[in-house]
Amino acid sequence: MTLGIIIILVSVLILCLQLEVIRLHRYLATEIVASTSGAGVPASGFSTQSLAYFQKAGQKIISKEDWDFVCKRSEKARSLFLIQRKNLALQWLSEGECRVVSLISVHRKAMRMNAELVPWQEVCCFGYYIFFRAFTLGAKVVTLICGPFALRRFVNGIMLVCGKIGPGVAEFEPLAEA
Amino acid sequence: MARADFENQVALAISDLKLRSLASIANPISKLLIIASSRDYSTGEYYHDGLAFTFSEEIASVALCRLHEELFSYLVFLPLELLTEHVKNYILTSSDLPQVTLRTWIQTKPYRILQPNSCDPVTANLFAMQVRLALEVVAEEVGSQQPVE
Repeated sequence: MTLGIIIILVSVLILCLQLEVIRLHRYLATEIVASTSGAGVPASGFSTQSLAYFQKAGQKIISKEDWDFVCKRSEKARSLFLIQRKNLALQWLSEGECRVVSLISVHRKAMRMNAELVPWQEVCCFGYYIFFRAFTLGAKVVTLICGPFALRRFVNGIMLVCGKIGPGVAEFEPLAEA
Repeated sequence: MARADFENQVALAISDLKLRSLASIANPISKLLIIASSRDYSTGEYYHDGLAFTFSEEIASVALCRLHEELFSYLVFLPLELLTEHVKNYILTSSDLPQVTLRTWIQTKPYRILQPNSCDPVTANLFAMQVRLALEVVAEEVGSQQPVE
């Protein structure tokens, strides 16, 4: 009985913390979206076009071709390259997080008023979200410690989750706006 | 004007730009500089008198904006080796004093304002860092003694 109450209290606490984190990231996401609004080069969310562009940027950051070119140059150029790419890798991960957080907040707004809500789908979506956050956190730590090319192991996983969350959630955007 | 009609006009304006204004320029860095310089940094709108006269101000602005995005997308995802070649060609051919141009580019960083309005921060930084690195490589080749920040 006591254990049950403790589990419920801990679950509620975790949920509250999660909501706070989502709120904070929503604010950050709004900042990013506001600073990059416009047409053409996709700037926010994860529509198919934007997702492809985001993936392209990720792959460019860890491009082996560029590294091979820099390897033939001076030590100075090599170290500059590594510093730049590490910063870019971390920025790429943060932007991915912000986009996903903003999409999830749109989704939450839409789902609150949706009578046809399917609980199982919501659990899956939440699962993907938690997995994504843990995965990006892991990727950030590994990138910080091992350098930008460590991101290579994570890019496909991150893109897979973005691909799962993005287009699905994007469908609900008009509902959230309404 | 109907949407399809507008898009047709924009496509025509882009072709016009490529065939006339930019036809004689081979280096994509020079092209990007020209297109970016047609933008008003206060409003973000693009202006081109000739194009506005042939089409309309709105169509000219949209055409320049799309061409800017197209050129930028091409350059930002270009392999570093090719980008370095383009930067080197630009530095060597844009003036009689390539070392002065190189030093000015390293010090004043004009490449940081070449991204289109719609560009996301990661891509904008990626481009700036690519060009910075290309300048470093060119500086080594040209023999300039510019310090790296």
